[in-house]
Amino acid sequence: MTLLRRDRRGRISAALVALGVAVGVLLVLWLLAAPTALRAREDRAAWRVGGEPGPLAVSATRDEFRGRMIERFDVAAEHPGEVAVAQGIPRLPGPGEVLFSPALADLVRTTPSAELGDRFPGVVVGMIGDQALRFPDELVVVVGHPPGVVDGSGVRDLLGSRVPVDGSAGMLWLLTRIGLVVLVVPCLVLVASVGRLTAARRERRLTALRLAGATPVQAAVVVAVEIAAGAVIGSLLGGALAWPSSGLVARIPWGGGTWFPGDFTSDPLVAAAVQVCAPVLVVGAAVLGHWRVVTRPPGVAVLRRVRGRRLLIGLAAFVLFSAGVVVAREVGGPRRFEVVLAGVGGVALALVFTGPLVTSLVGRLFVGCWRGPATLLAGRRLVGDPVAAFRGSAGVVVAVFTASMALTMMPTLEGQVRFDDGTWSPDAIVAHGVTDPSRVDALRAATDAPVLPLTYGLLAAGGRSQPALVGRCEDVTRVLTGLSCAPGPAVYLPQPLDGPLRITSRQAAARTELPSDVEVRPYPGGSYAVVDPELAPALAARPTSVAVLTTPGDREVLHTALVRAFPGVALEDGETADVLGSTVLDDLRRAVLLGLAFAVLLGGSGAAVSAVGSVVDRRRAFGALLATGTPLRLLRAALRREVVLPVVTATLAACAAGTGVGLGLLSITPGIPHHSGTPMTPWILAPVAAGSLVALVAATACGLALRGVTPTTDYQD
Amino acid sequence: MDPVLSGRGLAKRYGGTPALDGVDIDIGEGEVLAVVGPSGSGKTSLLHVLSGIVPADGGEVFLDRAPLGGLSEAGRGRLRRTAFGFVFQSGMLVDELTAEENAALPMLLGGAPRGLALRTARECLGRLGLSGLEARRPAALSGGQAQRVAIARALVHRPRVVFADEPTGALDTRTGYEVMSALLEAARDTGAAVVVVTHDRTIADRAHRVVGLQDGRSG
Repeated sequence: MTLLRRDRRGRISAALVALGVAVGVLLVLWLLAAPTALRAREDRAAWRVGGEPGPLAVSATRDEFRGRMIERFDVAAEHPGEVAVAQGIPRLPGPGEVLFSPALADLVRTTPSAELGDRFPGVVVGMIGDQALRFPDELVVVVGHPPGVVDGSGVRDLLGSRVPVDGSAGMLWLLTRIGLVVLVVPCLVLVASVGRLTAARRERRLTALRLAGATPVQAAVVVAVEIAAGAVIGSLLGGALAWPSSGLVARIPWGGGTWFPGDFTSDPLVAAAVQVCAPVLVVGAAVLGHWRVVTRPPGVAVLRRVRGRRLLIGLAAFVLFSAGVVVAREVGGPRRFEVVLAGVGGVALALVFTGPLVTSLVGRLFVGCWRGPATLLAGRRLVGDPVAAFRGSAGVVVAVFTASMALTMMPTLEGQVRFDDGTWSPDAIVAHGVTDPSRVDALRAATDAPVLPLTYGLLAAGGRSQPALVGRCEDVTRVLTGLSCAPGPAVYLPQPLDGPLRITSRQAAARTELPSDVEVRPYPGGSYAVVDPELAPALAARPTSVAVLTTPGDREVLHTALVRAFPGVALEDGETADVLGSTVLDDLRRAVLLGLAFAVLLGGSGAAVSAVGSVVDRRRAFGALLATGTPLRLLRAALRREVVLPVVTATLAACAAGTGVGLGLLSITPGIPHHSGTPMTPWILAPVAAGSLVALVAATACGLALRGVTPTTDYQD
Repeated sequence: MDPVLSGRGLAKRYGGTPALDGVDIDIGEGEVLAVVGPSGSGKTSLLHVLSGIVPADGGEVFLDRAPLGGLSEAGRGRLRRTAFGFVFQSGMLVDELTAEENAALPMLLGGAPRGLALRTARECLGRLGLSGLEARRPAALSGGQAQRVAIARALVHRPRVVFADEPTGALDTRTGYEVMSALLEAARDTGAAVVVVTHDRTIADRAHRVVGLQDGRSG
């Protein structure tokens, strides 16, 4: 192929194509590996959820130590016989035996036993292996008990579900897929941008080739071969970097911990498909982009126009997305989100397609009202070739769309994360679901701290009810916040109830009608009604909860004493709730930040590559302008306007689209009530400002490229 | 007649190769000077040095007796915008701009109001026989028409000197002759001197004076 370019600019262009494709392939492989990694995690933890009926009583609880979550499984063999255990669990711990994850074993070894180790009474008989852990530093313990001790909810084995975990119902799955869709589009834009790098120069060469007698097919082959070399190298490079770089991705925490490096390994078939598709896509984009030059009669100049029908693509995408929302709401099943995800991708692509139209309109505005040469140059460029002018902005626009969507969804999603609601005093730790009152005495014997037995029930009157605790007000006020006591037995009600009061406790298997002349006092802001034990002695005799009051010095010791006294019983602790909430919230924020960082990186890279390409394409004209005395700052100003102003306009549309799509997605996100309002703030416009800033930074790449343009040589090029 | 532009002992090197080696040259007011010579003789380098596109490594350029050697890059740029006009081999028009906008560009760069710049550009294009083509883009013009627009651009701001680097090099003989005629006529109308670099003897014959260059020296 003697026609191929072998000059310095040709090599630079090929190198940029290779670099762009490598980045694109790498990101796509990471993104495709993320859902697989999530599934691998959940597959390893499948033994923790109930599967087949089996001989074990299992109580799964979450504990906390110094801000780290501990997953605890109290098990007891209720029936004789062999118990199947999952891979990574060496054997079933018998009564008085314990299995630790390596990280928890280390923590227990380095912490005073009264603070942590005593929570897990018994002999350590083995370590839980990687195959049974979600992530390397996970804190997990399996504690064995004699039959009858564990208050498990059912009997099962320690294998869990044999069916591969279907993670397609959770919010996390949906967010991951959305991230995949909205980040793949900027990847495609970047890859397509590098494929069209120095398009104008190539078009001049193609025209010359056609004038020299080359057929359209021969010209297309020249384009394909020129681009393919860089694209194939880039694709191979991206694929080669994916494996070693997966270790870096595995360090990003999710769900309270990092990942095993193997989690982020792409399926070989998927990786191969991506590596084949990327160069094909780039070559296809380049050939299609030059199609008019390749096919038109040589030497005939064609003005590029964008047509209003591009708006129809945007309309079709919104219809597809809306249909997807309806399908996701009305139809069940794991595949119910697929149409809506296609709609999200469609909207992102539609923004890319309609962008040139917006660019052309902005250009017309400039051309109509210009006062200085910089605005004239920018305006004419935008009108003259809006597709090329918008090419660099496309990634930024998609990034703004993504950011607006995230900002719309975030406040509502954050609102769903549960933190300590302040019901209980920060010093209190409460054990719920106590079934053996004798263990309360055991706890009292083990500590000098105040131990308050309480009975949980439902207080009802006139067809309405509210949760209640049976306990002496003077005691309860030490652990419940906002309760003011007065002398004498009474009922303290957060909400008024009309009619005769009745309290029922399913756990205590007791029911009491309260005296009709019982004194009722208000408990504004409370989460529980409080009933004096004298009014419900039957319930008071069967405590179902125990609260202890801690101090900063004895908190961990008392926590440990509670866990030891009530194995398998869930503890309500403000710190534990906060740790759980923080983990979820941190994950959410990290995911959004990472997604936006990738989107900005891709968008910014695409914008910079296109901006540099546009300067390289116009070196001769710029060289001539510099030779005639045009100040460099004027050319820089024109290029900045070319890049930034369409972005500002297109990002406003992208912001509106992102907000609309975000609201639609919220309406189908699992766990979000349909009636929950979505708070909207002016911050929703922040992505527009950020996108414009990114475009401005990318436009500075033009300035750098302009430095390489000289008036002495480039106009003679 | 006092020269409008002079060069004394002009020297320029690119890398280790001398492009100009002590050239002395004068261009009078309204004079048409042809610089001829074989390829690599230093014609374009002389044009670059005289017009301030690049500074001389030795010697001095004078415009109206004032030395230009002390000017900064910005100063030389300002000079090229205001005192000089340029016609390049293939027009080198800005593809996106219309003919009248291309022609008006030097005035706009000089800070002239939009209306005045466009009006003057239209008049200039009219004198060059391009009435009715003002709204066309370069891609929709023939080579000769594009070169006439370039001439309009070079003269619209009434420069003291027009530099033309192989202005007919990309045109056929007849069109080249017509374009050269248009340039000389327009320059005469504005009183501008013309320095034309060419290796076309027929172009050089139409100049008032011809300077030959050989290995960076004037003959």
